[in-house]
Formats: sequence, structure tokens, C-alpha cells
Amino acid sequence: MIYNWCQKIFKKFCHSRAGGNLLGWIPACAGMTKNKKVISQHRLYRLIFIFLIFIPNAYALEDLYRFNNAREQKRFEQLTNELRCLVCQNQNLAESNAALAVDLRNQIYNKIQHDVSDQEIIEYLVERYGDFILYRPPLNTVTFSLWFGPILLLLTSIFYLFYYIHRKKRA
Amino acid sequence: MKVFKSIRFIIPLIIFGILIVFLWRGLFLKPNLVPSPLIGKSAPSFQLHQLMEPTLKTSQKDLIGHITLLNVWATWCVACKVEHGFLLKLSNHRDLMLYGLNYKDDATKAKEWLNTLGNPYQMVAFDPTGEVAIDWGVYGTPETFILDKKGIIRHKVIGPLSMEVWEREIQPIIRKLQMEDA
Repeated sequence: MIYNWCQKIFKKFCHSRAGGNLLGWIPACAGMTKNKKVISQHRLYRLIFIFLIFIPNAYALEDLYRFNNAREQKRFEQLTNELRCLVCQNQNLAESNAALAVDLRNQIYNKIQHDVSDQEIIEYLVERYGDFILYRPPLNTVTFSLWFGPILLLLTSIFYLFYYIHRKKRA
Repeated sequence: MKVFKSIRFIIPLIIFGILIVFLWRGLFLKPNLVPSPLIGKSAPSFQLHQLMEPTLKTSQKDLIGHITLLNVWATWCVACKVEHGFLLKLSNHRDLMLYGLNYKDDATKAKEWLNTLGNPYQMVAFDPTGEVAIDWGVYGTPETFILDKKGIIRHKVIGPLSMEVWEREIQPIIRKLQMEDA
């Protein structure tokens, strides 16, 4: 069903003028708009269908929890998105299905229900798991280069770029 | 300026070299070992039932008065089975108290495990919900905390214990603690 639906929408988009112009660079679409002959159309549909399956279902999680108001729900979403799951470290607490992530989500939920502030919840977790649990590390001597390194790199590159252009112009 | 021109080609090489050093070091980093912020602090307080004597309770006060290894384990944890043999050997150590924290487990299974494989622990706390473990910053099993006589956390080992880990990480700390007491 979703497959057919996706196919329909995509076809319409490709044949419309905006879509044609916009997607002209996609080979299959270009084929459709220019020659009305499509070589690997089905393959493309299949690809898009596969991508659709992997779109993260961010709101499935909140169904498990009942919030008194939208603000609490928003806080919960923000906190679980900003905190790292320590078991599977490239996922945040909202995404992870690890047992510890579930436990920590429950803790955060309970604390929100008990009117504990965001700051206190974060402090509670940092006290136990360290700064590593934060996806946005705090600014201190250890993380100084992490925060300012990229800016420094950008500035030196810009400086060098202008220096280079200036020299070329003179030559 | 002329000198600069002649050595200019080295600059990318230097940048490449720096990059290589960082990447090479990165190969041997262990990001799954998260340093515990609890080191140097006293043991988080807790109140739990004992696994073997469910009518009795245990708390952080049981950790005071001796050098303690607090070992977090569970029957569903494969690596815990790996380290179990070593823990049994360690239970003969006269200066150490081996304290178990049974994490998110089933009491019957846990008791059966200790009865069949042998019980290295002097005392085991039973934490079926894992709430106490969260207070200790546990994020995986097995984890082992080393506490001094005052009940202050001095070190944390993540992963299974073995003779190698003992010699490299634990024994030096225990020696240091013994020196402090002497």
C-alpha cells in the first residue's frame, strides 16, 4: 500500500514542472521528463520505499508515557534527545532500546512528574555518569579545544585564503 | 620569502603527519570505557535486601571498615560467567571483602548460579529494578568498584576481572590502600 502510494506521488512530482526541474539531475527522473522513457524507474521506487522504512519514528516513544501537559512532554523529548545512551554510545536516550536507556527514560519521566527542573535532572545524571552523557559538552579546560578548535581552524583558513588571493593579484 | 617558497611543500606533509598521529591514537582509544565521576567520593547510599538472606537488609554501611571490591553482576550477563572463576580465587584474599551487587536479575536464578558455580561474595545485595545501580553510575555488567576502608570509591573496573586486570589495575591500588592504613 505504502509502496503504491509512494509510486503515485513520485510520478506526479516528476512529471510536474517544478519537480521536473528540481529533480532533473536524478537520472531516472531526467529520463521521465525528457524522453518520457524510464529505464530504472522501478528500482528507484524500491529505493525510496526502503528509505521510507528507515525514517525514524520519533513519536512512537512518547506513547508509552502520559504527560499532564504539552510542556512536560516537550521537556521529556528535549532531555532524552540531548542525553547519550551509555550502552550504545551513538544513540541518545530517546532512540535507544538498551535496558539502561529504558530505565533512565523512566527516571527522567518520574522526575518530570515530580517537578524536578531540567537543570537538576541533568546534574543528577552527570553526577553518576559524568559529562560523557551530555551530547553538548560543557565548556571547561578539557573541552576548550573542542569548542574553539573549529573556529580557529576556520579563521586561519580564511586568513590564508585572503593572503593567497592577495598575492595572486599582485603577481 | 624564498626560503618559505622552497619549504612550502612540507606543510601538507606536516598536517598529514599530525592527522596520522591523532588517527593512530584513536585506534587504541576505548570510548566504551567511560570514566566514573564517583571516584574519590563516598559510596552512594542505598538500602537493599540481601540476596541470600532476603529478610536481612544491607546498605552502604556494610562497605565500611575494610577494603571492598563491589562487583556488579547478573545471571544474564555472559562476561560475568567469564570472571566468576577469578572471583572465586579472589575470595581467598584475606584483606579484601568481596561484595556483590546483583543487577536486574531474578532472585531464584541468581541463587542457583551461586549455589552451582560457587559463591565468592561475603554479601550480595539484590537490586532487581537497577535503581541502586543507576546511583552507582553502572551502565553495563560486569563492573567492579574498589572502595577503601572509609567507604570511598577509589577505582572502577569496567568489564570482566581476570588475573591480568588484577595485576595491572587492581593490585597496585590495593597495595596503596594497605600502605595508607599501615
